Amino acid sequence: MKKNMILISAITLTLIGCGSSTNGHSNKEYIKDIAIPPTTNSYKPDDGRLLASACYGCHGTNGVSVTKWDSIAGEDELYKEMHEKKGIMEIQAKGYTKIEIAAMENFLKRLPKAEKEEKDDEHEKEKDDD
Amino acid sequence: MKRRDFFKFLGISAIATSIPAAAKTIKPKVVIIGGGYGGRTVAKYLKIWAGDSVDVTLIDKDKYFTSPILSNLVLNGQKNINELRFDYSKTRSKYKINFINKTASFIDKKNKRVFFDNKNFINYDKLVLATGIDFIKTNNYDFNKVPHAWIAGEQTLLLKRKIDNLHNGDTFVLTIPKAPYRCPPGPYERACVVADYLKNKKHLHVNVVVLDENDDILVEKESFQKAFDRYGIEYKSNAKVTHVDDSHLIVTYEQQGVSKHLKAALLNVIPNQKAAPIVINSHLTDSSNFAPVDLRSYESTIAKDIYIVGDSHKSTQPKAGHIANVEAKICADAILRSLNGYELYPKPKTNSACYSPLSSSTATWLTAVYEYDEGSKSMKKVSGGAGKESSKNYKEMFNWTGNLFFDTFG
Repeated sequence: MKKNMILISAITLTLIGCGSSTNGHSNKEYIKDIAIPPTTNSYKPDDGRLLASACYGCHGTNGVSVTKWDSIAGEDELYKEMHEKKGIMEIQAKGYTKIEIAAMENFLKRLPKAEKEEKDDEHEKEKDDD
Repeated sequence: MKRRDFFKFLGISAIATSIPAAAKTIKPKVVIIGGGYGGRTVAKYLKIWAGDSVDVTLIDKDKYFTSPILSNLVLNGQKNINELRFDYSKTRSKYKINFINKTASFIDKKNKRVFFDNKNFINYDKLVLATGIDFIKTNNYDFNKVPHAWIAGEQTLLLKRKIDNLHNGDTFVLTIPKAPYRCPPGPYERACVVADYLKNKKHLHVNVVVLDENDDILVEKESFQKAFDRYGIEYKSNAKVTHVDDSHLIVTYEQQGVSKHLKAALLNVIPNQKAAPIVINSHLTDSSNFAPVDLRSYESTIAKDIYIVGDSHKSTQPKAGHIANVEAKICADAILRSLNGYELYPKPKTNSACYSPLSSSTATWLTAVYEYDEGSKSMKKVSGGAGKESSKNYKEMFNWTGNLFFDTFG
């Protein structure tokens, strides 16, 4: 696998905030920008990459989360991670075979781990309601 | 010829500057119509996965897309609509995607061209239609008087203003279309969010009536039923809207063969739905009014090299933003496989996740995984479930949308 395939170089966290919030959450709180330039100039199919991309709606592009939810870039224990969670993740985990998860992990583990900007509130996560 | 035609078009457009000067070799051209969850994701992932080897152009009539996801929170004042608007600056600068801010009016399938008017067009090798929904009206009435607010934007703001004009003793009627429609939990969510707002924030006694053409609450029944009971929402199933009187705000509906009328101070009719006009006018739909596709690629089963993702396509999957984002990646990958001479991935999977607010501080969720089934050539649900109403889920909702917005528009 070419090294330049996915180089999330310089994970620059910049805030873009347009529009103000009347109350509660503003854009600044949940829309952040991570520069992920397209670094490949040719296409090679990768089943693991395709399967893993279905996770990015919740875990961020190329597995780099911009919210309190986990980043999965660099994840090398995907099966365990998927199966120890409750709520939505528990149901998602049931939908994938071991072979599919292995293919996803094979792709994700080669991505550079995302810098953890905010510490997850593990306590809150554990008492996840379902 | 192709290049010349393309530059002929560019000559009359401001997007000429967005074409890199080095683009001398002929690259496959993918043209995408529609900049919502489906279209924006197809464009972005074509570039992430194939970089400069593919030329990607996105066409949308608007300068920004307004997310229907979270738009019910504009109605109760928890969100400002500006927070749900996503322009095309990132799409253009970060991913080098050409953006044409025009209405695509028709497709010349034979010559592979998208026309903007009788003269101006753009050529494509692959065309993606991510054009969302259109409405089937019962009769000719004015959406300004009876808003749908089911395509977010001005309609959302209009409905918000009308909700804020309600008084004690008024009746607010919300009607739910026959499935399939965009965002299955959405109308039930809206009924709850608005009822909560009127009752607990505005301290008004407004009768909230829900007319549902379906025979029961379609999703998350337990959560929605409980919330309906709490707010005193009057829910009528099998209630098919047959006429809308926009001057007197009277909705006529049929229930068990009996025609009934209901007068409201505010009517929010969410009409039945079909694929967007360009999909229907290009003869890409069947009797369902949606476009049949090969669900391994989202390529039309009617026309080669045309792909339909998101709400306009026909399948067992829900019509919703999150799953459109996932379908879009399968479509982008399939297009790249096709352009580069690879076989399709045989067993794609999609997933859907969605939080639904039930008040200004609580939400529930719904999720599923779908798998391509070779035998039936359809998407089969292989896992699914729903959450319970909680304030924690309300907070989690923004962790979900934060990443979904970023993955689609960022």
